[in-house]
Amino acid sequence: MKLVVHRLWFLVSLLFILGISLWIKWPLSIGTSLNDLIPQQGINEEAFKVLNKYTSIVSIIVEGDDFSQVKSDSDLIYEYLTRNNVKNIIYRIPQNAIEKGMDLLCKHPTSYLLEQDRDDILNEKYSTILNRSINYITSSFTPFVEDLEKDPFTILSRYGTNFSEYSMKWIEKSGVLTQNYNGKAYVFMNIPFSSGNVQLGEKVLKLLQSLSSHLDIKGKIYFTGVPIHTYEMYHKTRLEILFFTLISASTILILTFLLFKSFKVTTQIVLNLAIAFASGVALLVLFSQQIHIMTFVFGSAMIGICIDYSFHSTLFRREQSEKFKNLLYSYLTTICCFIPLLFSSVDILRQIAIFMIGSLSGTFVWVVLMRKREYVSQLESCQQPAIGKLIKYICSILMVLIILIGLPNLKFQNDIGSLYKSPENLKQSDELFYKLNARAIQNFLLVKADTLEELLQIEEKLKEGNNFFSLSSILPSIKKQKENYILIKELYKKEANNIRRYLGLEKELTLPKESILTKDEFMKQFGNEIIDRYIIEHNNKIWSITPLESDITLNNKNATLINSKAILRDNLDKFASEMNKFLLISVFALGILLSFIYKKKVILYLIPSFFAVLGALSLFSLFNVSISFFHLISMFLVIGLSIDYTIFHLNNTVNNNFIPVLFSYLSSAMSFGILYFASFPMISTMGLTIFIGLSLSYFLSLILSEK
Amino acid sequence: MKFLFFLVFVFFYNIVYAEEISNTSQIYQFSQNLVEVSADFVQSKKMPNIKKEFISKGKVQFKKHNGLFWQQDTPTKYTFKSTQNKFCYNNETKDTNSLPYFQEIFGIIEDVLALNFSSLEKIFHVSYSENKQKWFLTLTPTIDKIEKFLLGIELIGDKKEISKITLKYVSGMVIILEFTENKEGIINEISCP
Repeated sequence: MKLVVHRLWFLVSLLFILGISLWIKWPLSIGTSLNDLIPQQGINEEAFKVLNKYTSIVSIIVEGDDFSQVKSDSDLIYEYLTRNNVKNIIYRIPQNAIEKGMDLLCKHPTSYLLEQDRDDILNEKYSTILNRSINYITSSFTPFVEDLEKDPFTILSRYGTNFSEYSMKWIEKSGVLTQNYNGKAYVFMNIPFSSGNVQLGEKVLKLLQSLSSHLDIKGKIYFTGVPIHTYEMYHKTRLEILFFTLISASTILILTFLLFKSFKVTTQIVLNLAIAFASGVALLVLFSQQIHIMTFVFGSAMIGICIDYSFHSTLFRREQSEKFKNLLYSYLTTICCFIPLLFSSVDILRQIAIFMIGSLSGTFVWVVLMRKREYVSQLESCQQPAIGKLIKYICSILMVLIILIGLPNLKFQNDIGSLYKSPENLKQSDELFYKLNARAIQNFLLVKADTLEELLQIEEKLKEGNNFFSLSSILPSIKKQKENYILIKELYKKEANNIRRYLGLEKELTLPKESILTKDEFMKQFGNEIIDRYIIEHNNKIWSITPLESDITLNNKNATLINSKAILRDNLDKFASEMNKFLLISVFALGILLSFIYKKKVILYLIPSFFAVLGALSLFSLFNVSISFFHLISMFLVIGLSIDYTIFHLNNTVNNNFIPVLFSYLSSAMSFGILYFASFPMISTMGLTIFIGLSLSYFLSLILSEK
Repeated sequence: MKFLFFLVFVFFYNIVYAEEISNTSQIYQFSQNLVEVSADFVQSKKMPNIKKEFISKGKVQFKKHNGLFWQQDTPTKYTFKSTQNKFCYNNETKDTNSLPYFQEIFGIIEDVLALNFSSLEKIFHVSYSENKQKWFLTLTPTIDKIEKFLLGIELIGDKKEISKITLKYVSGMVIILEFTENKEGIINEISCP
């Protein structure tokens, strides 16, 4: 009776904690963005948010046989999306943008000056500019922006030519961006999103998918972008959670029924799983700001682990204190291996640890409260098979050989590929997008300021010693324009007569009048299109975002350089070396814990787990698989989960642990093994690694046991 | 971009309406014999409102399906090379992707050599004439983007070589190139690092 009361109290308490957690944190924030998986240590968080906002764009590329066809299709798509309330589509651009740009140069001839020319004037190397001008005039291949009478030093022509390298492959035609590639014509449009809004991504994706059926499109349509990938990931993850949970649960139920042939017991075990899940969710909700959906994908493997306690507790008659002792040791050693993940810098791993600790704790407490119940299984008479000494020696030698050959050739590699892979249906779009925009963008330069003038001045300061194209290249700050006028005036003073003689001009050359280009005039010439490509507003500040092909030297606290791939790789490398230390600490801590329990036999209890880890790593090495941070993380779980097999096999004095341990292994191995088929490399890697580690540990512990 | 269009017209010797070029015409015979061209050039550049002519000299080499080599020796030295997929200036390789029309222009040069009038007729209006010694080809752009900066090209040659090319620009600039054959050849292989 007392036990029944305890069970009821436990259930009520669990429901209460779960209810409170959900009430406090409601509505739950479920993270779905890929960017949430990327560890953000070492980068400016605000700048990263701005970059996420900027890169949250769906890009649509329309392909056709010629420009007129593709323009007609694009117009239809634009009108259709606009009618369906998709806002802020970047499609039309100012006509004759290049001519308008040249026009601006000519209207403001003293506002633009190449850095090279500025430096030479400041260093009084006027003759260098003179020679540079002469070279430009006499070259066969040089275009001219302005007549030589008005631009004798070819300042404007050289300025315009210098930035022709930065021109994108897309060119303006009839007010849209177009390109010819491999005999096809393409038109380009962008739909900017607020970062990672899955619902909006879902709506736009459905609209895009329905284009062919609603419109008479003659060409092909491709779309890509972070929101599309996020939506695909979210959609796939939901399906995978459902699929893996169903498979795991069905297999567990089948195994359970095979063992007990009793619906009552099966129901008990299902209840146990529900308690495990509720405990995990309660803890996760309480201690996490935002739960990432990937946690639940991994959590579906929890089913296989939690069932272990049910099997061990429910099966066979044995001394209650001995049963409780084994379960307690098993619980403590498993928890011991999840605890280091709580200190990981990777948010999703902390969440996985919280979820697993919660689930294991809940199921352990429930199993202990259910300890009076025992059921006899028909498989009770099944004994552990005797393994001959020869087989034991062969297996041991094989294991040692695998380790000796594989371990020295271990390769480590951490990159975006270990975290995320493009789904097949988006690969073609991604590849086309990169081909059509083929610039090797490595970094994004983000500059923050209160006003546009301040922002332009910061950019210009950054250009000292660095050469890159940004908004300030076409809209210089007013301060810079005034400085340029003074410098050009000085150049005219020193070298105007020389260039006039060279050109054979009779009339004296006069310095053009100072004419400042303002933002209003710029906007009048180009509309919002150009500025919107570079400027974003966030938290009452103005940010400019400039894609760069190489690194630059930063010398301003309001400027940040972000290279997501390098940051991810560097962080994963750093975390991997942290994990190596954690692993050693865990094994050591586990050794200390076990030495209190098993005294001198502690080494024996550690051997299977230890060799399982080395064996798994060596097998990957033999199959030429590079080890990533996620392989190392999985080793914690291998140690924590597989120590149970050793404990129960080596403590199998009355030969009644074989079946429970076998079924425990089968359920865990199956639950993790199925994760190998997850579409995300991170989850797939962890599933496979744990499966291999558990399998090696199970068979090694079997070999080490008395039979 | 202007340079690339210039490339088209350097070897733009047989862009005429098919009915005007016969197998016996001098330009046809020239195109048949063409595999490789090596020449010295003298360039005269006239700018609007500037009386002075700007003279430069150098060498040019063209190999069918293999690319172009251009070397200016005076008044300043530089080299330009282009192949199907790359171009380089003073041996510094540039990405052809940075020139949106690069593939199209290179394709045009190849079309010229293969006498592929159908694609070239989309871009130019051509008139052709010849006398006993020389042939004369005049090319006028029909596409508005080219018409905006280029007035026309005039080519003069004979059965063996092109002797003169004149490019006239809307801005008033005129570039005249005169060629003399360089029998020794200039470089063995046109390639960028």
